[in-house]
Amino acid sequence: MDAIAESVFDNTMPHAAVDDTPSHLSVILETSAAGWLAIPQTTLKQVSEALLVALNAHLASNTSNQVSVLASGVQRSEFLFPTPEDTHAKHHNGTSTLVSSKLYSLFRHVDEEVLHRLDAHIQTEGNGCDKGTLAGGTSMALAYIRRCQAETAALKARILIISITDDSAIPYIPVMNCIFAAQKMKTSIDVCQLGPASSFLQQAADATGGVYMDVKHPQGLIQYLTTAFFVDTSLRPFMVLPSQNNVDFRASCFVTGGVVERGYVCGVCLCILKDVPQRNFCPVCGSRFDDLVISKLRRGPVVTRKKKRKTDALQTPLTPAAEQPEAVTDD
Amino acid sequence: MSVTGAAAYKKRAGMLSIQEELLPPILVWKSIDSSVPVPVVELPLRTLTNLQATPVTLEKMMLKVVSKGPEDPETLVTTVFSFNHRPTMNNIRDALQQIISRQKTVIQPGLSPAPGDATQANDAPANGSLGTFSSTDSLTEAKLLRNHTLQQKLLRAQPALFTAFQETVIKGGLHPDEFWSTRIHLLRTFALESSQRRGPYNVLSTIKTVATSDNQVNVSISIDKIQAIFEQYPVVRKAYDENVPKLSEGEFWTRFFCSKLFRKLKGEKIGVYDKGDLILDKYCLINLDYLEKEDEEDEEHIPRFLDLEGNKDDNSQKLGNGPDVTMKGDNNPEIVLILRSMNKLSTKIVSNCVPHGETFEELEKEKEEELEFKDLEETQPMSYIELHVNSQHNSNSSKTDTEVTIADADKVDAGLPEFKEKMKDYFTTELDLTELYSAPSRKRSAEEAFKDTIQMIKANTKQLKQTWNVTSVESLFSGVSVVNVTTDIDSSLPDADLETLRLTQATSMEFLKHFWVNFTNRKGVSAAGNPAMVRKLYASLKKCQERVESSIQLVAAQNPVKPEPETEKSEGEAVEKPVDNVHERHARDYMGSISRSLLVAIDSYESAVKKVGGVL
Ligand SMILES: [Zn+2]
Repeated sequence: MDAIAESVFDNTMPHAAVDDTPSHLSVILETSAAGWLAIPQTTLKQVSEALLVALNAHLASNTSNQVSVLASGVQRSEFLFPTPEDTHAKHHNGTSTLVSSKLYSLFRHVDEEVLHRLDAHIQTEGNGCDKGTLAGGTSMALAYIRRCQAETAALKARILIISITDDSAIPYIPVMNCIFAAQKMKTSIDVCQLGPASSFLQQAADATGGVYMDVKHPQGLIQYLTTAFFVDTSLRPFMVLPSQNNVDFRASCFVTGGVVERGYVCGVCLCILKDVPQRNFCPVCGSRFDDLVISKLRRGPVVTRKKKRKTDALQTPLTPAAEQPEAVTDD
Repeated sequence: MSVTGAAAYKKRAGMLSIQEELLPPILVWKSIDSSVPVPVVELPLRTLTNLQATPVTLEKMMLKVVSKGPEDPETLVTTVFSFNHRPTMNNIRDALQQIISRQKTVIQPGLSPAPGDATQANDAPANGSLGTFSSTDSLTEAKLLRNHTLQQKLLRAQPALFTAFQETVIKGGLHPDEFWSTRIHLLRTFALESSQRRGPYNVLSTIKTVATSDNQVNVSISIDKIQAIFEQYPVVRKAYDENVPKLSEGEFWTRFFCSKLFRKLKGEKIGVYDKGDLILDKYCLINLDYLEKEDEEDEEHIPRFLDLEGNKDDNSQKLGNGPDVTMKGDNNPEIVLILRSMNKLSTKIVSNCVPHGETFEELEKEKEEELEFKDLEETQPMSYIELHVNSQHNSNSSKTDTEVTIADADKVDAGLPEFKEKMKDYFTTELDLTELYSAPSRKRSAEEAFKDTIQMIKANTKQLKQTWNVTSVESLFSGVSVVNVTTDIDSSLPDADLETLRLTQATSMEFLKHFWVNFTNRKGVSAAGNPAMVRKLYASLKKCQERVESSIQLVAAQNPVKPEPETEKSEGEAVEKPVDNVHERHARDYMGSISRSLLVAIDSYESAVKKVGGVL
């Protein structure tokens, strides 16, 4: 993957004893009801509590630190914090307070805002597509970080994805694009996986220098958030991170979703296919393939035949060709 | 002016003179007293081989001239002249010495340059067997595969490729055509690269004359340089045309490099007392401009276009000779001459650089086209192929695991509406954030989480101790890592061993590539493919497997294990004690993917053979 993304990260990092540069933490919280239902060990409410504390901790560690929170539902991704001024005012006119009034006012401001918006997000969420909106949320977070970095020079940034879904709910191409964008922006993507393990997100964390963890004790989430995921980006090269080291880099087939050992690549959209497509066009981008090329690919393997020479040539099942064996199998 | 001086021959007074203008040039001695019948001594200058003069310390002043006999070149004839005035003798001696040294400098007819002459090496492919690739015809796959000279050159130029070639073709028995068939692009690039030619340059300035101790002038000059000189300096071509049958090739060039003409053309200053060359210096007087005009006559053109936007300030002729330094009266004429010849050379070189085939007429035509009205012509709109990426295509992806996923519809759907309602009630009351740590169940869970994290860090630390370099290179901000970052991987193995493994890996990769190409019959024209080749490659893959194993064993044997301190034991964790050689394990890890790839390829072949009832 590093080979695809040019000049992943350069070697210029300030090496100061005291690092005062502010840091931006962008959290993407998956809200799909189906996803949460599948995790009986904890609830969105409990996770929100832990998240708020982690946000407060981040804000407390440096007065210039910033946070942003996004909800990624089945229908849409939206910002929970910060939000445009008017919604902010509306909430404060309201009577209900969702966090203790004794809280430090900056924290309370952020926490109230996040909770109110999250509540509104849940109330209005309908039925969506099964691909989720994680890629969209990540794009929004990256765009927002970009804007903040334009305003505040030298702003460090990282993204934390609190994920509850596995690979099947993640669109491959958009997520890959997010990874490359994050690499260019030197923004690491941390993944706090509450649901089943996801190799896509594992790759995302690995490629951007982030931490990927399968959370085994969701009730103690606050512990993960304030230790494993709390390491500042500038400290990461010096620390041993609790991230998973053996990442499965093999690509998945775009059609069957299975891990590909030897496969085919569409020359137009670069999608990876495990088998020669049934019809002569790309299942992802619809580009028509050359009939001659496809028919060549459909040929049976070349082996010495003792008796029959030609008869079973058509019956021999397809053997996947290694279009680029070294690229796919090398891990 | 010929050199003359009074000298006695066989005790008779006479005049000795060197007559270079004559053909052939000769050394002549004539008696002064014409009444005495003494034969005239004539020695052709070309036959002179040696010269000996009495040293200054002696009273006697004699000059011994050794020359080849008129009939038989093998027999040497010695002629002795005596002088009574030393400067006269010295003058004649010097002149003869120069002549003799010229004879000795002979340019080899082949004019092969010294090996390692860089410019020559670059120029060679242009007229060598590689040919110029003016047409794309010679770049076709078939032709490139047949061009063995090109392949050899490429191998010589790229040591890494040569190693691969050695391992797979020479040692591994792969057919060279197979090897090259996957590298056509390399051959093509190389062919194009090596057919690049050097443009015109100031050739005389690259020629260095070296005078040796015995007054001999050594010049190395190649055919290309001679051609370049002729092209750039018509006067030299003229001189060559007029003199070379008379003078030998070598003599001509030796004379040329000693001549004032050479220095003049080169743009050097000529002193009044500088020695020149009798024959060639007269070409200095020829009007060089006139000579060059002759060449260019048919290239004279009158531009048909006038730049109307130009004003009178742009007219350089109105400025007179002011801006031209060579036209100023108070300049040193020597310097002006040099400047002029340099300017002329520059103009010539630049004019030679006009793109080939672009004649004056074509340039005019381009201008005419520029003036045409184009705004009424139809414009071609840019067209793009729109890609409709269907990202929902794997919604029907097959679920392999039994884990609960959101797509496990039945199970999930049952409680979903109810669950959604429940979620809507999440944020109606105030949250107590302190519960995160105060509630016993969550506190316990947090402790578990802590242990979980620490355990992962510990595991990573152990791994990082050995692969710190890799991780730090690949991790985010590698530049600041405290350890020495190398671009190489884990350094627990010596470089030589890593190199062994790499070579084995690369060789296996090469065979795998060819195996798949042939096995899947991607290139073959016929549907039957080339079973014999596949079979051979299959055998090679088997051999590759052996090689991988033996290289691992080799690495293991060369790096015996050091006993590891077992610090982990005290914690009572189930740590697998490394019973095997740690280096072997590393080597095995490195070769893991290639071993798997080999296995997959071999399995595919074997099962395909079984399917058609063939024998392995
Ligand atoms: Zn495609």
